[in-house]
Amino acid sequence: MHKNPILFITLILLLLPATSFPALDNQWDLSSETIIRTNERQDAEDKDNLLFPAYEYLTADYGRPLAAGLTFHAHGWGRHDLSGSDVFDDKSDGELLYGYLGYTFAPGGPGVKLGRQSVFTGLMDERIDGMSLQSPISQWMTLSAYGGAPAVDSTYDDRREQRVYGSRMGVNLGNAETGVSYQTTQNSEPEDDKKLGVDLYAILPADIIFSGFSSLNLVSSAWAEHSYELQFMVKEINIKPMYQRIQFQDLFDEGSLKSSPFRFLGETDEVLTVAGGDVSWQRQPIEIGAQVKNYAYDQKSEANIYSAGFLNWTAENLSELSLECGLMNGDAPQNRFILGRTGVKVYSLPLLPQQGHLSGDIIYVTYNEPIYEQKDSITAVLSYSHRFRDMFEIIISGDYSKGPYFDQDVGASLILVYDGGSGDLGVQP
Amino acid sequence: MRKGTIQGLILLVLFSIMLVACAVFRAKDGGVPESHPIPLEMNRPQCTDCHDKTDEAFPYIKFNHDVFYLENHRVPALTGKSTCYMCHQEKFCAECHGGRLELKPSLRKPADVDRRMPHRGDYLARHQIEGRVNPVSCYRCHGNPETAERCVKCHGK
Repeated sequence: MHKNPILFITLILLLLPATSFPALDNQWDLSSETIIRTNERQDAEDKDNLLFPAYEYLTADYGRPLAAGLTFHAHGWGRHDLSGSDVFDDKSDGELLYGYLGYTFAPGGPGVKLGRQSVFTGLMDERIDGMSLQSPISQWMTLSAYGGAPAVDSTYDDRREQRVYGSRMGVNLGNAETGVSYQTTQNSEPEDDKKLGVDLYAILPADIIFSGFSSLNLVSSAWAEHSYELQFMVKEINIKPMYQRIQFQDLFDEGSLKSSPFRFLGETDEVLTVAGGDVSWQRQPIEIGAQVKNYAYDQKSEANIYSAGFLNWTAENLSELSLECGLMNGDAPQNRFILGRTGVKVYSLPLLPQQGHLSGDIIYVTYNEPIYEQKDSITAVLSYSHRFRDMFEIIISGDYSKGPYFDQDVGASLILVYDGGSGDLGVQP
Repeated sequence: MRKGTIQGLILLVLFSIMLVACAVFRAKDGGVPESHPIPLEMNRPQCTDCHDKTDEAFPYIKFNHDVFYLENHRVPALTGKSTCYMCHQEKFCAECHGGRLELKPSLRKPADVDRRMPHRGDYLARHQIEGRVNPVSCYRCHGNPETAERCVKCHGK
């Protein structure tokens, strides 16, 4: 709905029945998030402007996503800047994130979706305006297929001309599943994009879980990516080693890519190998985690190691304290930083109502080499959330940030949430 | 197609068959219910607190929401979407993966500090380093122009 308020108004109208009649129909889940935010931003002439953007997020769901029968799902946002500034490119803006009709013939049976939707299967991870189908074709096999245009507005005319088609054939044997996917993007410059993917998942003996995927760029006839991980437990310790290998010219190829920050990467022969994993241990009320990942570059012979540690303490009333530290240690001096973070969530405070909770977060980062002459940054967020009648929530939040990009940035948000469907804001966000 | 690529593809298929063969002796999964039979608490659920690690031919361990789950949920979501839908609605995914989102997730959900949202804090500064170290993690979400609208202001079209 970019630059088009009609859809936004339609979405608001969709919500009205729900706010008037919360029990309109137990098949409908209607929800709204209204966010009024304020913060200061400089415009192109370095003039300070106090902004008041008001956001509205609306969701309408009829039926559960994979339930049998006809379903409808729509979710979108709109924003209007209540201040007189010209910091935003458009005073009003918005987007329909998804909006589709679905029909599932039987639980676990064939289903079809028509409209704007996110397709996240096999190789595909994009929004399309089109159709997708999923159907079991035998006891063990599933076929899914999709086709349509990338879900973009008139700002991206070249992308609107593109057509995306793909399919995945999956074989599920209960404890193992493997799938082969194919995807093509037509009318793509300089030539149509074609990819083949294989995804795997298996519970191996000794309860070891193996999962991951590989993708093959059919235009360059070379592997774009391998990404695999194992997961297993030794007593109460959860261990997850992982491995990734990415060939830049085959992943960031021009055919599928029009986004400027990555375009130049497709012109290099670079190969990135990521190896490492994480380990976590939990025994109420404590959870401890550690993570190490090594990012090795083949061409520039450079390696960067990120290591992190976590500590979480959760009380019986779900109050929580978390501590995190991270260290990025790169071969290049500019690729080094240290991060420290503490987060807290407090329920049942003596002076607060029973349904309220207080949460806070402080993140401090120090950089080895200054960024815009700043060696460090700090961000602090403090919020109070109050829930009532199981379907309403009000959040008041303030934030402060100081670092390379913000001298002294202070912001505040007032958020009103209405969840007329699930009736429980926590269980079904 | 390059000779090495064909050999790799054959090896991958053979490896897949081997993995399936390793796992096939177990009973077939009967699917998951539409929603979790009993309401879960509002903190991060650990499936293995109640279920055996891989009992009932289901990999409960894979869906344990441990401290790293937010950054590691790609593969579980790819292979077990119906399990996610037992507790989450689609809008939950769209809060981060929805496409063109103007408000970053940590500003939209400031009280959910336990979710360790992407781009929290002064990420604008940190992204220079993380982007150099692993551009693939940026590309997963910002690989197309409409999700890279913010990037264009500095990186150009």
